[in-house]
Amino acid sequence: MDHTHSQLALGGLYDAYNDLLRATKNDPATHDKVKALAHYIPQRAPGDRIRAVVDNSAQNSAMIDSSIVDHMRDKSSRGNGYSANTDVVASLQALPERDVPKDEADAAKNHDAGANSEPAERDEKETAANYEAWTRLLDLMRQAESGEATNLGRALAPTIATQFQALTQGCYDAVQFSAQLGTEEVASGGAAAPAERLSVDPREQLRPTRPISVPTPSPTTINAGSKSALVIENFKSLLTVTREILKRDGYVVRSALDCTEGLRLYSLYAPFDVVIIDYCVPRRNGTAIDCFEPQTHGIELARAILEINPSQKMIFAAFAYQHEDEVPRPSELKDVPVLVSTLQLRKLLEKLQYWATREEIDQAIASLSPAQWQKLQKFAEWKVRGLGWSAGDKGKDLLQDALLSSFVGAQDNGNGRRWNKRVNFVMHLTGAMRGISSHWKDKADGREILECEAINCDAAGQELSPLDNLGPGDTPDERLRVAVAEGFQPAAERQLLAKQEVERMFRMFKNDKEAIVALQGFSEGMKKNEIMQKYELTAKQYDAATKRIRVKLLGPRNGGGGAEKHGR
Amino acid sequence: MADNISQDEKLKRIMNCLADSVLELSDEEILAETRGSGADPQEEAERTHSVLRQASKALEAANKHLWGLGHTVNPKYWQHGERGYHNNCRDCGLSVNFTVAGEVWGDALLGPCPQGDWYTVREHESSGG
Repeated sequence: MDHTHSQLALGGLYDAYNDLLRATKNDPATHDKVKALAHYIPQRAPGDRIRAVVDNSAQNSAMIDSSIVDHMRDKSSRGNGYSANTDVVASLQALPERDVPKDEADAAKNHDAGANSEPAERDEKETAANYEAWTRLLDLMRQAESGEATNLGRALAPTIATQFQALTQGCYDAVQFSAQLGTEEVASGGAAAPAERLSVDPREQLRPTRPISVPTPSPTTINAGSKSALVIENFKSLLTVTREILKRDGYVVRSALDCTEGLRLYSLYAPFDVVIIDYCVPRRNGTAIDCFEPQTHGIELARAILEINPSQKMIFAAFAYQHEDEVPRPSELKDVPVLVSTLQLRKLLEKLQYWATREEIDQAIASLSPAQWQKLQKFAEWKVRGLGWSAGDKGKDLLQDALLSSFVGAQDNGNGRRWNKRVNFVMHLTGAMRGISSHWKDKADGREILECEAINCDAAGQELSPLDNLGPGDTPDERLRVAVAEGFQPAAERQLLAKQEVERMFRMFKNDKEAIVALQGFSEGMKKNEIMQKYELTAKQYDAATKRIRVKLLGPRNGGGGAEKHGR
Repeated sequence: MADNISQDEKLKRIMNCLADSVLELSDEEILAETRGSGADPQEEAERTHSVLRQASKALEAANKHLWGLGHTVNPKYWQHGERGYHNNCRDCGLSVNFTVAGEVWGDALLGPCPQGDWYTVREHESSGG
């Protein structure tokens, strides 16, 4: 019995006691006795009495009765006077005959043998009346308990119904409970399922009509300071080492020696900040591992965990392998990092802690403000124009690539462009765009087409052309066509176009001295402060000049907004 | 020294500085600049967001197709080509493409990866062998 129930039962006891006090008000002697009992009840064995009342078992009731009778005898032997109360007597007459325990009966016999008949008769009457009074008290206590339970049921019913709906995310109609917290059916969309059938297979019965999304840990969970880890490792020495490393890094660690226990712990305590699974862990502890058979239990455990929580961060511990690429895994688990040495663990944990998951990236995207979107778009447009291409669609392509690379980075094992959550998301995307545009530039440089080489063949007709490096396409002509279609220009042409573009920009601002010096500084790779210092511009003048350049160059007649596309 | 750099490098430097200057603007300044060019920042943000969300969904669909057949691609090798994104299975080399519009095609989608051990094992298990 918990503390709350004890309190309730005790409350019932006192209510019953007060009723008894009122009932014996006209009988001062009995009233005094009842009053005296106020100190007795909690002092003797309150726990047993309360438990007996709540359990409502005949055996415990008998124990109470016996205890009460003993007490009454004790009181009687001290010569306390007692006169029967009519109500109490009436109640006593209505009670079934009580089985007197053997030792109690023996004691009564001994008592009778050693005393004269009159005092013995009086004692017997007194005991009977006391017993009846206590029985009455017991009944009142039971009634009070029953009332308490009903009231408790009524009070809890709405809360339980609300909680049920919250847990099933409103997939079921409101459940109607009786005062005893009973219910006959659970309804969903008008169709009712009998409640008693729920006990046959609750999961089947409670299968929602609409999918219930698994709650994902918020991005801040990891930084909350209470880190948790689950380690499923069959080798105790490795388990000890792993546990120690995790504990030193501030993790609260739970561990299991096999898959079954691991999944049980996960089901009970999920989510964890990280789950480390031994790649070769057996299904059950004690099962011998056959090294010549494919090790699938760790993989199956990982799948089971991901079914419960798709965003759970995991690590495979495969100490039998030299390199993570050697560890066979199904495609969907290729992004789970692999640990081939305990020395890597700390570094991997740190990365896991700050690498954003796909869900976190989605959240970050959803929370971008219009101003931030504008910054990203404009940044992309300028970067694309820096490659000699017009902005517009290509700018969107760059932003799209940056975002996709962040997504694949979140899935990949250290190779993609991962978002480190310590970095502002806009800064992360601009960084990704820098990298991608630079990659595009390198690719363009590496695929420079020298027209004179495009048709070189040997005597046997075998190609000698460096066009082998051009990329997709079965023949040199095809590769040339694809390369041009993708926007790769001959080197000379690209240089010419860039020269024309730079000259055009300078011409556009020939009457704007501040803009010209800013452009000059830009073209020389100078920073803001260097330009201001060299050309004696104030910050305000510099900012205003830069703004003029931006606005004019991104104007509709200058390739802004995807109006014109030249180059790629 | 400045004269020795190529023209495309000059162009790249100018544009990089302009790109960086955008990041230094406050929210109000960038929004005012956008409105000044006659565009509605809110509308543009929604349009871009929608395009990017489509791209993300398309990538997810392509990955699911590949996983289902036991193919594995190196995520960093998605190439933005003539028609959408292109990659190859790193086990069997077959190609796969997807567009932002959600179209997925390529030889890799014609059947299971012949080199995919996991797929073979799972097929074997599921067939009761």
